[in-house]
Amino acid sequence: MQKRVIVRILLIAIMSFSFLPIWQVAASQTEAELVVDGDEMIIDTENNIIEFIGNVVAKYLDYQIQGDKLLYEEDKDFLKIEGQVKLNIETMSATAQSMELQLEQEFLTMTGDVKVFRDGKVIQGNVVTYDLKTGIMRVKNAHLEITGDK
Amino acid sequence: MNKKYLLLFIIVCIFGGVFFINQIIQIQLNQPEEKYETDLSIEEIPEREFKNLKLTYYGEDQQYKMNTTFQKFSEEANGNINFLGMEAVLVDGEEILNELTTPEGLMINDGGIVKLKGPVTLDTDKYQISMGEVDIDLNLGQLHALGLITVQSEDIFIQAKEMSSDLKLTKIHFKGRPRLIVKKGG
Repeated sequence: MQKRVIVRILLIAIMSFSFLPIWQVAASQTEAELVVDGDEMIIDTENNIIEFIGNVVAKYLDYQIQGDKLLYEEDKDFLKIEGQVKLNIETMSATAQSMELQLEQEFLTMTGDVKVFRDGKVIQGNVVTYDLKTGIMRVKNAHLEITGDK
Repeated sequence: MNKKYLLLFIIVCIFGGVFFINQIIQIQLNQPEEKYETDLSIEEIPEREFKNLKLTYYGEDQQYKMNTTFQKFSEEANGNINFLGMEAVLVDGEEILNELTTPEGLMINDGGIVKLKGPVTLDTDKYQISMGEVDIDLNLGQLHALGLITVQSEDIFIQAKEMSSDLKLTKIHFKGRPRLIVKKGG
């Protein structure tokens, strides 16, 4: 009888410890983080603008954006990336001359020789907007190209 | 019946214990490491020693100045200063700009350029900036920091290897592949 009790207690203890990582993951998921790396950074503290110059890589949620220059406006909560911009998301990738991302709304605007690569298709346009929450994409002056890759 | 209560009690204790252990681990992980002892013995300070001394450093045109207080202070033969517990205020004319603190370090005054070696913390309304070492140019009203530099505010964390700015910190320039982390939501 005592053995059974000990075994039960041990099982409960093991189960309790197994909850530890779940608690920690739950705690870490309460905040999303924007992480930006670059060669140089300038903070304009009067206007709350942060500028990155050179080999900029920005990561937010599942998105990774690369470019030559990045502006982050704290008050407006948006990013503007310029110069050979590359976007990588799990479902698609894109290149453009510049890209703006509204962080809270997760709304992306790409401008200048935009190419979106998705499911073996290349969508080209001057201006492409993409609602990352709904997945709705709008393309101005669109040109669709279907490549051989599937 | 008693065994059921005992088992229930043990379960509650285990869950409670695990929760509190987790909380303690989290608190300990979040606590910054104390790298510097603040209570160094007085015997380690060389002969020309002072306590609670206040010094003011000026730039050439006296526009910028640095009001400094040392808990313990000793001057080397070459004029450099070893100190413990420094607090300083950077002033532009009559306007107080920022506050500097450092638990211990070396100060070199080179014609209006105050060089501080030691972990230096600079507090502003918005940011707390930690620097390995910093040169404060009271002639030009600029500062240049090296070493591990971290900047913290309510929702921002920055890490860099080099930083330069005006003393008002209106434009802060970071080099050495700086990293910005912005916490969103909560």
